Amino acid sequence: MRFKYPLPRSSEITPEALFRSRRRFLQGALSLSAGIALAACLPGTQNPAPDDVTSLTPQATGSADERGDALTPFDAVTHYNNYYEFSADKQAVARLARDFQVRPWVVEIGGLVHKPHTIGIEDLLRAFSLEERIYRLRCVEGWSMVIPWLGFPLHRLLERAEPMGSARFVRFVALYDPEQMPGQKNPLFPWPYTEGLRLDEALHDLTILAVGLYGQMLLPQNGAPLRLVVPWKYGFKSIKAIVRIELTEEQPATLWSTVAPQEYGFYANVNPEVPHPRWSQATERRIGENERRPTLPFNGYAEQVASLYQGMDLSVYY
Amino acid sequence: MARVLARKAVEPRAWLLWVHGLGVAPLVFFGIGFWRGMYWINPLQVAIQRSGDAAVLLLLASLACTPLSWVRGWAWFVRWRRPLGLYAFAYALAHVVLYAGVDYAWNWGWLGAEFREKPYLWFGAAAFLILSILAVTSLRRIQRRLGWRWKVLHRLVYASALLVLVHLVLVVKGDALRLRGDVWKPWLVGAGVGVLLGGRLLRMAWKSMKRRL
Ligand code: HEM
Repeated sequence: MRFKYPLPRSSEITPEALFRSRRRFLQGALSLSAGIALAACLPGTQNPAPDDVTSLTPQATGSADERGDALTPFDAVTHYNNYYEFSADKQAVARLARDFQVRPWVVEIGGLVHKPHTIGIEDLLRAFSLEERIYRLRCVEGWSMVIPWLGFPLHRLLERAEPMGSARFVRFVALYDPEQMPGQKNPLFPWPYTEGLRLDEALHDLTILAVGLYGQMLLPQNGAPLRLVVPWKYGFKSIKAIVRIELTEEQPATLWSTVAPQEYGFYANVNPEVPHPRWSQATERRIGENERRPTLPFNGYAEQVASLYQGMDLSVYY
Repeated sequence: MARVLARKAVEPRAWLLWVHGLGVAPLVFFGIGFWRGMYWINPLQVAIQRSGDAAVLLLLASLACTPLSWVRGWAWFVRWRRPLGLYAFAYALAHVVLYAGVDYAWNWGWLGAEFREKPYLWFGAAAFLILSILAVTSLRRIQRRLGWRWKVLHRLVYASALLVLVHLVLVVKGDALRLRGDVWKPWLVGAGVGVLLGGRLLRMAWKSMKRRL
């Protein structure tokens, strides 16, 4: 197996059990690649291109989320991507993002913090131990997946930077590089992609920065090398290819709420009670399933996060 | 005049091929994409969107026939109107059945809730209702029975196109009026409807002016 970019030794960053399961999987990689070559002949199954070697060894330690919902297959997770920086066609993103450069990569942490700093992605990987988090991902378009992320809680990074007392929000900025991201040539969007969280949301333990999924480093189409994952919010909040994290006093502007404020709010909590002008938020289609299923308040994480919004009218703060 | 008639007589064989070629092309493209595995992850979403696109495109193509027939020697274009319009209706029917029947599995509770809260569906449904009426009344027998009323009734096709335009403005991701987001489709369709409807209105005005002179 070859990663496209250098990695710290896996033992440094990966929990022991995960590391071992990955080793075990490596041994199966050869036979697996033969299987994929065979499957490539079948119509209707898009397979990773031959140079897409990294995708031959997906492995997660778990096989379902805490509710018992099965993981969405690796191939679907890596070939169905809402990533407008590359394309509005979700199945075209993997191809267009193939050569995206994820090294070198520097993330800047600044704004209202006592210790503003920049950190290279390798140092970041060394600094935080990674854990697997199996989360449901609910897209505002009414479809959903279950994904085994590899990452670390955002609060660990924020605590290092020591937020000032005046900080109330966190603003995230993604890479702006139209040469690599052809979708950014579309002038109808206010690039770069920006997102934001209230500080208490950002500090919540469910909020993670992901660097991998299915036990391997993120592929470009999933937001490599560093992306946000906030499982109780619609997918567009989980910004990809982050280059800057900034603490602010004012609620930051976000890309989609700038494009269409009446449709995309700042909070964007998954909420079957708050309708969207287009897609049903009451029900969703789990990728791979035939029947729609009811959407859960806070995407099923109400127990952990509902208290963050006590006293707020969620139909106003949607 | 004689030349026009002669051309008119020559055209029919070729035109059948062209009309049906145009009509099935969207299905063929979708089929190829599907076979190549471009839609396997969420095929229903793609099928609903592409059938909607095909319906609008063929509706515009059908509307374009009348102005094209004004060109000397192209009078036979009028005959494309009906088959192209029926193809548009067929894709619209597929669009609606995929949405209500396949995606929502005819779950009237869920569908009712969607219709109560989403204006884009009202415009789509109104457009679809008009297209259905026009499709039924396009049967030759009914057409003859309706006489002059048929002509007036079928002008509703423009209302249908305008309703679809609103459906599309509301359905794209972004704010079409403020030119923000993924909004090129409603602008394209808007330009098409604008030119075709505008052209007919202009010609009507021009003719009535000439008559008065
Ligand atoms: C009862 C009637 C209708 C219903 C329930 C309906 C439903 C829908 C839905 C659910 C979508 C959004 C798909 C998505 O973005 O996920 C859509 C989009 C669309 N519909 Fe309809 N529709 C109706 C009538 C029509 C008619 C009559 C036409 C055209 C003649 C039409 C053309 C379109 C187009 C062009 C789109 C945009 C597709 C895209 O995103 O490229 N619709 N419709």
